Amino acid sequence: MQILLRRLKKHPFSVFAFLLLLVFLISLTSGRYPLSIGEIFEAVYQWGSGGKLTDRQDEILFLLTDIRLPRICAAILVGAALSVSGTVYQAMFVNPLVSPSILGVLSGASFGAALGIVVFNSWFLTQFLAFAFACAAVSLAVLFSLLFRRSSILVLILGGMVVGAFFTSLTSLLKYAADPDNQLPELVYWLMGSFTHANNDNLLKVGVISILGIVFLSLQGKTVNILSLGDEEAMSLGVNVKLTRIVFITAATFISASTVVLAGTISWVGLVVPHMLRFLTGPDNRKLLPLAAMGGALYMLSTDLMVRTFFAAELPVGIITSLVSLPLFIFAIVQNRGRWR
Amino acid sequence: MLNKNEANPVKPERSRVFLILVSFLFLAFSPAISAETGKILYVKDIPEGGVDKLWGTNVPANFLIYVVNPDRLAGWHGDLYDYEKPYIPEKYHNLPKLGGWHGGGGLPDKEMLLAHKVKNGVMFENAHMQIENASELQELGMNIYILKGGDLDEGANTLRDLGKLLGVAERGEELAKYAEEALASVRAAVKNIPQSAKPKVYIAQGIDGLRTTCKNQVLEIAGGRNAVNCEKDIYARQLSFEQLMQINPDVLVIQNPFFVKTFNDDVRWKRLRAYKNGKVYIVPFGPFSWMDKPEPVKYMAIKWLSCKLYPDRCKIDLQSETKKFMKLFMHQDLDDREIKKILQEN
Repeated sequence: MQILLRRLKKHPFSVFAFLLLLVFLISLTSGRYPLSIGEIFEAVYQWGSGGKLTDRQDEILFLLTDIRLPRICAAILVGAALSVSGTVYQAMFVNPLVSPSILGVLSGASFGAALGIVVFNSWFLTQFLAFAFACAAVSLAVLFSLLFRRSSILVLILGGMVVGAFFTSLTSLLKYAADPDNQLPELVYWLMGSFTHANNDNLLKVGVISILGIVFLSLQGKTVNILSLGDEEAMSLGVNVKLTRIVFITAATFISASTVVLAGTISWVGLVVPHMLRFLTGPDNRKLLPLAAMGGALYMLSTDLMVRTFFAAELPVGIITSLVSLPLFIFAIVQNRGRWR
Repeated sequence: MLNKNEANPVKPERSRVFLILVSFLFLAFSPAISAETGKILYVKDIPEGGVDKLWGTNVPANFLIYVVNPDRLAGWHGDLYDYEKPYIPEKYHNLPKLGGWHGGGGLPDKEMLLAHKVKNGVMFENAHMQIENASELQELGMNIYILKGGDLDEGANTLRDLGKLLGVAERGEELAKYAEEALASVRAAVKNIPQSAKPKVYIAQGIDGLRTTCKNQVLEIAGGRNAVNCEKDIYARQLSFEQLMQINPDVLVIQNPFFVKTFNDDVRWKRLRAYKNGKVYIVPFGPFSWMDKPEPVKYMAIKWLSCKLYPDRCKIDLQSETKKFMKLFMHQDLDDREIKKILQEN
């Protein structure tokens, strides 16, 4: 265990890449549909060599490309996005307890989804409105902070709280109005977060934004480091704090909102994964951010694999992330004693 | 030097406590302020000519009152849905909203029940939690009639009892006979089909089609097998598409009309055996989904579904039967175009 941990600390990127590949392959080959690894290879080989596919092979390829791969990609993107945006927020707000939901992104998304399910009864609008209101909520929080002449981080967080509470109340209103037999269970399930709805269409819709956002933020370690020193220090080092913060918030909002389109609301990942990784690499964001992307992806993919294989029911993955995250969170807090300034 | 009051500050406190205690004792032994308490009543207690206005404590019970005698319906549970309104005559649209125990946290609106002087309510025997809470309504002076119901087999007798309770015993009898005939004819049509020969039917609910139902009496009576084994396959009612592929049902029944568009656009659903064999059916809708609550529409639903599952055993014309049903149960004389719309045939 000690050796493993030492190796992990020494070469975190290669270890994470290896683990990610491993879990990816396990995820691709496991699921409810009975399928052996041999059959998968056969089907892929047949397809690659341009031979005629049997019905069974055609079905296997369809299962892999249209059902399992989209779900795996969605889990990777959602995990990476939540974890990276969590890390950026924590550094930017100089507060280890901040998660991507701090500026109301999840409450806004929940309201948008509720609107889509209860008022419009449309799956497309559910996703679209979830994304739109996630962005709207954060914009409102930022606007709120701009009302004050000296817009500090505290005002921004307060804005996030106000907007979050506002949208949460509106969501409750829609829950109350929902048809209890049909719409309410659907909404509740959506709010618990799940990859059931991940498909190629959804990936195409938000995948690009998500990937661009994750890559952009992962490469901003140096600036994030400076921001985490506090506003005045950052300004004295020549960083345009206000502008940088807006850019980071916009990017983080876009990627968190895209997770909502793919998987509903999943909490805790953006809080726990950065903490666990800080325990490995320390608080240097140049290393932490790209590692957070990989770690978040690994964490989410493993949790979804658990959901798909351990339980007969299609349990919402959001429940499992919360249950798994809490002990990890406590562990990380104990391990990080004194590390957080 | 201290004056008398300051010297002994505890004394007024003590007397205040004493006063409060005495007033509590007085309240405890005082007679209750409430008006006369209502009773729990059964079929044998139904008065001659029935009761004047009646309210059902949950949606199925309340809707049955509307079906049997809308003129004695005390009020709805809440706003009618837009899709229900075209099938309910306008004069009933604005009845008071009295609330009721229904999913999603609905509660009876006691002030409205008092304000509209609703003196009689009806509950079904299987609504155990509501019966436990009946005393809340009795305190308002309401009599609560407890009837057998909430099940298709008991439904005919429920219709009879409600007919008596609403002063239209003959109509109750007529509706009950329809219900009994529907059950008997469908059961006779699908009799002798061994369990293994029955098609595996997946009922797609929700706007994504991936929610389903575990136990469906309409499906059982109409001679279908539920494709989903709730004890083995799922605990909740949500599936992943991979589970659905594994199940690969023979027949797909779409319960939510809003899912139809997604179904048409999503290539994954076209992979299922049911689609390839042309066995995808949309559940008729009017005033609500026929396979949903409340009960009475299900007597028509079993006829519809058995005709879809076994066309060669179907002895009725679905259009004319629907027309007859809507007139008898829903007080609506609909033209052919409207009937086609309900049957999702346009």
